[in-house]
Amino acid sequence: MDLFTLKYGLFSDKPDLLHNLPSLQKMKDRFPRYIKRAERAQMMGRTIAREVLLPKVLELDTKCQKDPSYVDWELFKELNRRKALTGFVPEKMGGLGWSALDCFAFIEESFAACVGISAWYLFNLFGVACAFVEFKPEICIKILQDMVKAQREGKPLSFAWSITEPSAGTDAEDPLAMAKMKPSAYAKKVSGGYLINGRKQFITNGDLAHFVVATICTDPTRPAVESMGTFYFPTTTKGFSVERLEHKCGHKAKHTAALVFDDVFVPDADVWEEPGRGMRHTREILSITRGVVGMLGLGNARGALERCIQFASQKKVNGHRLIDENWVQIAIADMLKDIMILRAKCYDFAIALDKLHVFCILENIPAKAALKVLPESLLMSESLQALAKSPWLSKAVSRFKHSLVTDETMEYFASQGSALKVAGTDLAMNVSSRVLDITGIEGMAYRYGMEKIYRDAKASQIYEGTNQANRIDLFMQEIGEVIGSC
Amino acid sequence: MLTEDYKEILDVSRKFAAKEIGQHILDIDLEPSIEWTKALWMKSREVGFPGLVIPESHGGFSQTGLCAALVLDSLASECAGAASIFAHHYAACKCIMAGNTTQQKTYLPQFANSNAEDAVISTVVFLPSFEDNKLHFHEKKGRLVLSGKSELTANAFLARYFCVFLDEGNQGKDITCIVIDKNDPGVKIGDSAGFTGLKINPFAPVIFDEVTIERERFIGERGKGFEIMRSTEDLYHGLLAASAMGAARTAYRKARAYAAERYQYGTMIINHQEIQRMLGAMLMKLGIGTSGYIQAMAGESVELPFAEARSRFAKIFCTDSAVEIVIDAIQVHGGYGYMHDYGVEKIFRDVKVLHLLGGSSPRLHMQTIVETM
Repeated sequence: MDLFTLKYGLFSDKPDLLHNLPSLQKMKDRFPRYIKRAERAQMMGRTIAREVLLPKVLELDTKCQKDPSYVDWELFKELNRRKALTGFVPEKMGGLGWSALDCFAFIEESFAACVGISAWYLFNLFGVACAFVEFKPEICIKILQDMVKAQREGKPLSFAWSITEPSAGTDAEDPLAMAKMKPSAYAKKVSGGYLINGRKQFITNGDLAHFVVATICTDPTRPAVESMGTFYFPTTTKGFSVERLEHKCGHKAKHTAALVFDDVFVPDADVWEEPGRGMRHTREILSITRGVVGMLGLGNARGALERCIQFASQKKVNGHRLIDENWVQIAIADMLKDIMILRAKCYDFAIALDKLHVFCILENIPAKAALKVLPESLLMSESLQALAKSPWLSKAVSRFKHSLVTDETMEYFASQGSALKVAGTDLAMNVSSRVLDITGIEGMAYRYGMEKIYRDAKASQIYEGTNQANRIDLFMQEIGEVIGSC
Repeated sequence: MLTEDYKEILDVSRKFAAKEIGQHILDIDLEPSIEWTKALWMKSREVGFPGLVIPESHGGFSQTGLCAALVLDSLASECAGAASIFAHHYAACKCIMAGNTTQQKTYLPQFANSNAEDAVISTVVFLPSFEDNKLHFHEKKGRLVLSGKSELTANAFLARYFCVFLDEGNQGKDITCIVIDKNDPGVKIGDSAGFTGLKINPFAPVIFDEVTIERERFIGERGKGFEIMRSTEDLYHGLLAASAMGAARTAYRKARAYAAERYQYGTMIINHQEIQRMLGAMLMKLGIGTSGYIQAMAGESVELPFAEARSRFAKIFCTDSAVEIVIDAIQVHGGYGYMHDYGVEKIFRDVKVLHLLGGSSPRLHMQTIVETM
């Protein structure tokens, strides 16, 4: 049985962004380029999902079950060739110049094909997001340039964003919890930098990373939140090691590593956030990535439902198709309804990111002007890096960014993202379980890929802050101030 | 309701499960092998499990369905896959017990494993969900032959005997039950369906390619096996319910223990009301589900004034609940719950298969009402 014969969802030939989000039609009148590009990003995502990801989904799940360190480098090359990893890099620097809306339109399709593979190649961008959140020009420019170079050379360039510790998952992400966190890693001030010792747990791509961005406390005598800083170092640094890769229930194509830091030296220049400001840095990244995980949940649910629709339209029961049954149609409609509502919120979040969050920076006049005026050769040159290092520019750009993305904006997005994250991942769990109730035991057969989606879904309710922690966060942001109990 | 007899059997069963299954199961789950499962079966013969529900006169222990359910609950608390092997075997025993004296004498001592050198495991093949898997009889050179494929058969690589139900009239009424030997010409076992749950009991298609069916293979009369199927399903559903509760109980225990160890938000997470709510809801579902299957399996020995206890209800409630319990048990564990070493994610994979075996919940609900029409 070929699971994909109906032209629907991932297998429909027409872009359906405007069909799914009718209000964008009004926006298209006003901002035709913005919406047309998103439509193109959706179709690019769909093509990649169909041509590159789907043939690999079960193969990778099986191989990584046997060997959690397995990487399909051919798959990497193909994704890289199609610029799936550098879509957000400005066009003039060699990327696709994606807006947040474009990114969301693309990743929805990728997640619907496989959240495991998608998390492997897309969560890498969380590390890049770390740099942009900081928006120190020398860091951003260097990372963009390095990524473009790596893309051109067909080489991987991975970043691992390291927050969770063996003793602190939620505690390392939530301001209330962090006040009482017991860290397992510390950075000690030494001449010219810091020495880091300790462990990080469940780090995505921890074994593949070329660079680590880690939030780490510096002062054991004070509450963690007061001394947490953000440190950046290459994984070739002496004292860095990968202790093990986890055997997970799902998400197998995405490696999850336990990291050990044994006197890892980080020079002062690579301290991205001074001790005491690391929490803010974490929060700002989470304010974006939680929305992305909400979208992951949506993709996961879509992947399950679309496979179920294909299955149910082919299987015959008592002289008719499974999908002709009344209860099946109602169940599918019920799930479609949830997906439609969630999708509206996801794209609302994406468009808001474009308007108010880091994505607006490149759209803003000074950056836009710079990108327009500067020739490509200069954008990719070391002299630009050198220029960016000058303290006045660094300070000016950083201030410019913080004036655009204020603390209020960040906290606002954190609560919006929390809502999305909980709604999306709970829906993923729900739908991936319910579609199996429709297919019955036969749908559990490995080859249909539906039970894999069910296994994948569970992780998303946990990472990026458990859904319980996200609910507390949402409550505190929305209601906490009103009732005055924070 | 529970006699001393039960208690003794349960005690044996718990010890057996802890020693022979619990200690090894996480390693085995990563690389399951038929040899290990067969060896487990051979060990289970020493404590009499294969013949538990078979009459003493045929080499068994004459225990009730309720006793079998409690034993599977305790086995499933270490591994639902192990329980599922016995659930299908006991269901097959139930079929044969509905057969004539000759059939009982032929098969039951073997099923009880009282006189065999090798493991003799049986399994049951219920009606398929979909038409493309249909089994059917046809005539060939004056012989009656069976052809078709049972897409998902439990114990497929283990079983010597298959108790197979067929629906000749396509209406779910003219049911025929036959017993088939793996060694009959024309019986083939296909590739594993690759379920990621109940891994020590791989499910696979069994292909019947013009298998000659002699008269003595019919359990009951041809076309009149509806009642046999119904009573087999009753036992089977009760056993699945019990297995789901056993597996979910372990998930609960692990979550409860972890909650008392894990420090987050400045305190052990058991002190958070939301965690208490989640754990409390798990325990409630375990309590109601367990008494539900016990009542259903106790049958007429328990008189209920208003309601009826059916093992199908118990199966739906217990497996629905088990799925919910395990999802929450992983949640309480956070990221660790998703990792193999903690043993909860295995239960998560296992119970979803139990959930769908014997019919998915919506289908079983509908069937209940259709029967009243």
